[in-house]
Amino acid sequence: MNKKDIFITSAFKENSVWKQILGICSSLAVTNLMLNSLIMGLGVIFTLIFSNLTISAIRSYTPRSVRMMAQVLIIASYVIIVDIFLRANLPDISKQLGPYVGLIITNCIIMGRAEAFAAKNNPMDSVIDGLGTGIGYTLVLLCISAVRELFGFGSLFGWQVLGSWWLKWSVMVMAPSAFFLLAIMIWLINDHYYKVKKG
Amino acid sequence: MSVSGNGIMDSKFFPVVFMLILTVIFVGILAAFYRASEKGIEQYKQQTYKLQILSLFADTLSVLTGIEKAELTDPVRVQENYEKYIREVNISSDQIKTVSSRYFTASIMQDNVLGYCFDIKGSGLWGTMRGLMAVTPDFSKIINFVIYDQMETPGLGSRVTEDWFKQQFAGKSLISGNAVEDFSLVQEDATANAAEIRQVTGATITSSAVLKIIVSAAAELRDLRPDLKGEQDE
Repeated sequence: MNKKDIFITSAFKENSVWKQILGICSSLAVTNLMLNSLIMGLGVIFTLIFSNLTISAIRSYTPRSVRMMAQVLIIASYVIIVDIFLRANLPDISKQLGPYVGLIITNCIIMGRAEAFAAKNNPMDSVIDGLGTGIGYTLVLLCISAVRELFGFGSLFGWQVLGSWWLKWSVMVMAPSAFFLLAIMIWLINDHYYKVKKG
Repeated sequence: MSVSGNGIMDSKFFPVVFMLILTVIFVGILAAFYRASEKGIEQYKQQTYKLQILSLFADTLSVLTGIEKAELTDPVRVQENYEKYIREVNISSDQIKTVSSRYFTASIMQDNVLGYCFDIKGSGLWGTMRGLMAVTPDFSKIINFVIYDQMETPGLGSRVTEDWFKQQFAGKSLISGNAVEDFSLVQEDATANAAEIRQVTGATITSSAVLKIIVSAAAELRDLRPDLKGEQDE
């Protein structure tokens, strides 16, 4: 598989959220504001790229019996770096994201890519796979948060788009709306995908 | 143990050594990164703390200065406003021993003390809760109160940080005569009288703990009152 195919497959064809239904917890939790989703997405992209790179680089030396332990250690270290970076440079966003930054460690997407791709492929391909997977995940987060922020706050990335006449939908700010929107998104995309496949 | 490349990797100790080396490397990286970012994190903590103290006196200051409350608590101007309106009060080491409070700060305008702020703490359900309590210069009333650090259950006990809960304390009598006010809890949806506080539903222990922190701080303040007054007169 060439590098472009690796990227397209990991970001779209095998998108971790809508195809593999992974990383759902954070997709639901941090999508009430677009800025939070973007920062969360960037954190996941950073973690995926570097954990894939490291795991791939040491794959031939990693004993099978401790490989998962090593992967968790590597992933956790990069997540803590993201957490410290946010606390030092973007403290307000760090506070809003709360425990979810730390919980990137348990995001199945990262462990999934480490085990399914990085542990078997060369570092360059693993970096591209990490980048693709991360971008795919971030796109889902941004799509859901765009709808939630627009209807819930009347704004996009904090910029007021709808005027004061707009009656804010408080349900969009609350967690249940993320369930509905994510489910609708998965339904529409997969429906389209299978139609294309059948056709 | 064989010394050849594959031999070392086949050894039963190799996984242990491998994990050990990996751990040392990553812990080292993390320690270095944290050291480099520590200053920024500490600065933000300090700024938030100062902002909390300013917010406690914001209403009083706003009335006296005519400056909007939002301007007084503007995060960009925290340092400037803090230096202008807040002083850290000097208290001799003997007096510090008598109270568990970490800091004493006073809001002062043109040499008039508007109130004192005390950093108070106590046990919550899961760990230590820390709060800031601003009181009038004679300690008789609470100006404002806030819990700024806690580990209570999210969605239940942690609701003591919500505005409706902390605003209940504003203007409440704390020490009348020589007696500390005896607060009691009522249901969240009930109407509270002067000595009552509406508790957080499902978090009776945390709500009681907050009252306990305030009451025990008040008992210490009552004993401290004459000394502070003396210093104020100087």
